[in-house]
Amino acid sequence: MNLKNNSVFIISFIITLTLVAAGFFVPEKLDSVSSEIHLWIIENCGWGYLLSAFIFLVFALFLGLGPYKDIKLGKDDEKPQFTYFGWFSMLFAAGMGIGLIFWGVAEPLNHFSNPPGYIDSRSGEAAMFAMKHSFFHWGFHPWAIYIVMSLGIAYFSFRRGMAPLISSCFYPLMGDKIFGPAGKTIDILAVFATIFGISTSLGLGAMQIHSGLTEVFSLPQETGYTLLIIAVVTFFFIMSSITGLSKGIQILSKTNIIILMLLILFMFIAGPTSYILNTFTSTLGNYLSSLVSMSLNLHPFQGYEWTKSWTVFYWAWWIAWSPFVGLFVASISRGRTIKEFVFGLLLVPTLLTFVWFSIFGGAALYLQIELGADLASTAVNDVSIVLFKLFNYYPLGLGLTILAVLLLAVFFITSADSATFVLAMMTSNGNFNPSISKKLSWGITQSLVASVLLVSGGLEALQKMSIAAALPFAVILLLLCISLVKAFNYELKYERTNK
Amino acid sequence: MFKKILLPIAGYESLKKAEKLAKYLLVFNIRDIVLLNIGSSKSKAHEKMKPYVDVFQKNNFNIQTKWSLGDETSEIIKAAVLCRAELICFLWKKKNTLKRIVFGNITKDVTRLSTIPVFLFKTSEKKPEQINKVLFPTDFEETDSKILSYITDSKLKFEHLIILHAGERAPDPETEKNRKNKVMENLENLKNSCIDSFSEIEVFSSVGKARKEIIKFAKKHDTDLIVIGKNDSASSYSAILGTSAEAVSQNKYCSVLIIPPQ
Repeated sequence: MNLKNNSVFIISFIITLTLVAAGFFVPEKLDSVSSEIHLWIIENCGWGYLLSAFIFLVFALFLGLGPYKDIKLGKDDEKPQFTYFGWFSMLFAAGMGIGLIFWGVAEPLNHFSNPPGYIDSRSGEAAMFAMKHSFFHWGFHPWAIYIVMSLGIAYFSFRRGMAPLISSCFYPLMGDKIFGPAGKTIDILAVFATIFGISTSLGLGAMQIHSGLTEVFSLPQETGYTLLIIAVVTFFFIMSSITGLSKGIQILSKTNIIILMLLILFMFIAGPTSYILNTFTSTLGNYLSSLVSMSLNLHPFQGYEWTKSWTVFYWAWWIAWSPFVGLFVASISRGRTIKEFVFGLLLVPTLLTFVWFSIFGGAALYLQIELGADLASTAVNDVSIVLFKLFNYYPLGLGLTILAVLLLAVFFITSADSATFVLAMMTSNGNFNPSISKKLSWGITQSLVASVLLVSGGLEALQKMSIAAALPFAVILLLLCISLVKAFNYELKYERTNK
Repeated sequence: MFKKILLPIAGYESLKKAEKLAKYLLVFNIRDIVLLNIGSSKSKAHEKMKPYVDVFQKNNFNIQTKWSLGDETSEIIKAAVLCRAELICFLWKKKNTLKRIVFGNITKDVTRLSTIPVFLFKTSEKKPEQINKVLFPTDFEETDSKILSYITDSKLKFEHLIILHAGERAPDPETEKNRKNKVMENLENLKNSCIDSFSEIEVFSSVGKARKEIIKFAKKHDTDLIVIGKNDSASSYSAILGTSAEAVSQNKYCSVLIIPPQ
């Protein structure tokens, strides 16, 4: 193996193994260290996360509407590689996927039960607050963060012919230094954030699948079963990853969107339809009208704790995910114009997310407020089972649970599949066709990381570590905005006018 | 070259600096100077200008004096037009930031508004015969030909020319390589067009913000004069922060001659 060409792979692999070993042998120590870093970041950098997420949203709108909107993410005559349906399906699967199923019911109910101090718990106001902030946390901002990262990668790789690596995006600022230690550090950080982000997500996803299967088959709540689930799913996502991006992930993502649509349609028809529509319309209005105030409000006088534990945590989480989602989204967006790319990402997955929250969150709130079912306490106590508890109130509840478990499993596979591809690509100097051995190494590693930490209890510590990795990435993303503007200005000034 | 120049005098400029300017102006081969004082009464104005008149007369310049009342920037520009001056010259003194914010910056305003060349003289410790290095920053725009006509004028006594292009890096290595090649090609063309007027010509290309790079270069190469073109079709960035010419004019290391496009 060529050490110089594989330096990103070797260094990130060693860091991964070291942290996993720490999580396995001294989980308490890892937890205390990561908790301290995490606490410090959330406590002191909250304003920075809110401000930068807002900047990314404004920047994304500027890109989509401003002078650069017609620039193509590819050569001028290139056509998009995927159809709109395939593209949106993969965007949604990679960007939100498991998380949305995990939090679709649990988040509104959690905010409803435990809103910030200035709102009465379990009141009508708390319900509106809960829905509005669920939209907020899963709405435009995460996608704006992804847009900055993925647009940078897509532009510099497809249009400028550079390797699809995060470091490539900094050529206008750093020049040839991107090929040296500074560039490698950026790429290693990206690998680090991706492997730990995806592993924690997979660990949590496996736990929820386990909860779902427990509901259906009364499986005992033993970790062994969760590990078995991880093993089975690993087999499928590695198989899918080896078949290649255009086949595996696309087929799975499209299947998933179809299952998702079926589930949404059933819940909409079988559930309190007009209540859901009222919830959707009112929350959308509330969300849009208070977008700026929510974006920049840390509630420093009252409710700061709530903002820290939810909004700041989410923003850090989305930023930590951005290298992975950014690289993946870039790889499926070749041939689209900036306008198409920005509004495609900003509007379509967001709308689907809003529909999901309105149907599942709205139905849960209906049961809680109108029918007196205490789902909120379940959501607070165990986030992973509340979706299945909701299904118990619906006709064909068991079938819905099986469908949701299937959905989770497929999302699990698509996320892990995309992550395997992205990790292999990042550690192969941006090769769009990374070797099978690298895909296998990363595929098995991420499942091993999730399993080992699930057993040792280090999963939460790892999640905190990936949040810590988000801090340098927030700065990297801000610099990326400058780099992009420099590159676009150059193109418009010198290349379009042939000066 | 310039036959007649307008030199605004407030009265607080150092006489030593005026003496140095008189020596420096010899490299431009200038003989006629109009001194202008704004804001005083006629008698006070002449009183204020008297020591400067003496300095320049001692150095064999033909001196005229003028005075006026009103906004300094507009009066300077108006006077330059009325007396048919071909250059507005300032004995430049660095103002601190607070003063610039509160009282404004006349040299910068005149640079921005003037349609004739503006010369900002910074103190030079060199003797007239040692003043021989000129820096010509170029962005390969239309003002280049105008600047060339000034710096290649046979009456201008500079011997060493440095031509500098400071530009933004291209978005990718391949384009950057092509950009650098094209820049060097353009610089060589410029060098060839003035090769007979200087005994030594060097060309440089650097990456970065033009305003910073030019000042950095002037300092590094100890140049005696920067001759820079003013681009009126300014971007929104320039509209807020001023053009490169305006920014370069305020450097404290080297005298600057700003050539407007018209």
